[in-house]
Amino acid sequence: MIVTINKVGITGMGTVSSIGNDVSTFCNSLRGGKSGIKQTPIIKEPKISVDLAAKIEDFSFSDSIDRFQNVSEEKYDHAKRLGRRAPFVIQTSIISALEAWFSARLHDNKPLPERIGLIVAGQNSTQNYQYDLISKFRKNPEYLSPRYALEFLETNQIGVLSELFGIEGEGFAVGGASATGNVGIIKGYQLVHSGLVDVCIVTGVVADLSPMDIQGFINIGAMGGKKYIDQPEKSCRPFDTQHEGFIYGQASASVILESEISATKRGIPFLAEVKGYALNLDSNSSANPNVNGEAKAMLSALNQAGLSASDVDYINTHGSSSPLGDKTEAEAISKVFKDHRSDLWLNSTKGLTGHCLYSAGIVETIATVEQMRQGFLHPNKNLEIPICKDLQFCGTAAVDYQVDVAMSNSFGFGGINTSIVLKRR
Amino acid sequence: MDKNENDIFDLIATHVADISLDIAHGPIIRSSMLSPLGMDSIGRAELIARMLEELSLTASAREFYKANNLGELAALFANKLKEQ
Repeated sequence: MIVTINKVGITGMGTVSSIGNDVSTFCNSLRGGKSGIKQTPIIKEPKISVDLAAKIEDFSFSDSIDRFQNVSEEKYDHAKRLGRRAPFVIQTSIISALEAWFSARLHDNKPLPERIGLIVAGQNSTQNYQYDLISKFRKNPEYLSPRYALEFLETNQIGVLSELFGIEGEGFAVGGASATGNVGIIKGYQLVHSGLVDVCIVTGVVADLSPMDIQGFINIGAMGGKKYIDQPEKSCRPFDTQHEGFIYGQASASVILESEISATKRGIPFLAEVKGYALNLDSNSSANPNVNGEAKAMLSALNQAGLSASDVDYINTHGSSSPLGDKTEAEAISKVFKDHRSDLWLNSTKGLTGHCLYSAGIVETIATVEQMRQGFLHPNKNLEIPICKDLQFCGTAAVDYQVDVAMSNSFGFGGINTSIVLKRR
Repeated sequence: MDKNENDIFDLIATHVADISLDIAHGPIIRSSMLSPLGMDSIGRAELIARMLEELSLTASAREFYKANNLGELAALFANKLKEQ
């Protein structure tokens, strides 16, 4: 059981995604069932066999950062200097983290630097950056930018964001394959709950996959997109009988986790409370999911929250559109929620955003919090014939619905199972 | 067309303006040193790597560390270009 004297909640959120470059636009896209999945021209050789993705399009760092100028000139100038020539994955992290920082009003009133922590949820996020530099390196190793030594490391995100926000508490990067975002939230929760920090920024980084990474996912059978190659919006179909694998998505997403004591002192409300979480392994080096492992994560998260299955109104599923993954999660939900399984609502944000890999858990936590706050559930975009009849999936249009307790699942290769429980405030 | 020392200095100035961490740096002239222009040691190394590539030179970056200002750096690159 979590000791309730140090409650932890979310006090700020920010995102840059294929369906909105701020939380408000992202939320409107969720309600409208807008998909970010499109055909993306393949310009690099050799060409890979799937060209569907939900990419962040037309992103301009200088345009994106301009909206923060009025909030804090000093922070604006600093961010501009740090991000001006930084790689895309750093620039998008700066923007999502700034939005979260300002929405939590940390620019007005923040704890001491050593009481603020930073977790970067991301692994292998510079793959495409490295892939693009290979030809230059082959030409002459001396031509390689010395900044490469900083920028190929995941910890570059830690350096940039900690400098920007003046963070001197604990900071590190975490990886958990497709569950990386949830792993980041869980580790951030632990830092705040244990009292090591009062506030922790958790930033999920864009998975900037190289063509080789994408082809790897295709070759292992995890990525879809071939069946609906000419109808990109239909390609991601979580829990539909025609699902065939995940569709790659890009997003950076950040949340501010804060203790109730700190938030009260600063006069900032919780957007939602993190009631419980679980992270458990299957002891499995492969890619296949496991019903027992997923069920265990959901049950453990509920136990830690001090809630029972019947208290849950809604699950933001992992729902990646993978035939085996969807089937396994559906079975695990039935196992945990038993008779309540047909009363709680399910949807998958990946049907709209694609699978944002490392940031997916944070994107979906933001989606969950916004749905709770705004009183709606977003559509399951392409769910025409569900793979099972005994679960209650949202339809193809948004519905008004008040959720008080929600669960958000993320599962990753290597048998990594995570679940978090959120409560509306 | 072969680049002379003045052309090379102009190239250096363009790259310094792009690399500099200090967006509002002062004028870039031959006697300018890198630090006052907002260039740290990584910026200096990046400038040299860019110039090597731009001039298609094969040389170690270390050969250019001895320059005391941008004019001397331009002269070092011009000499290396003549050698090759």
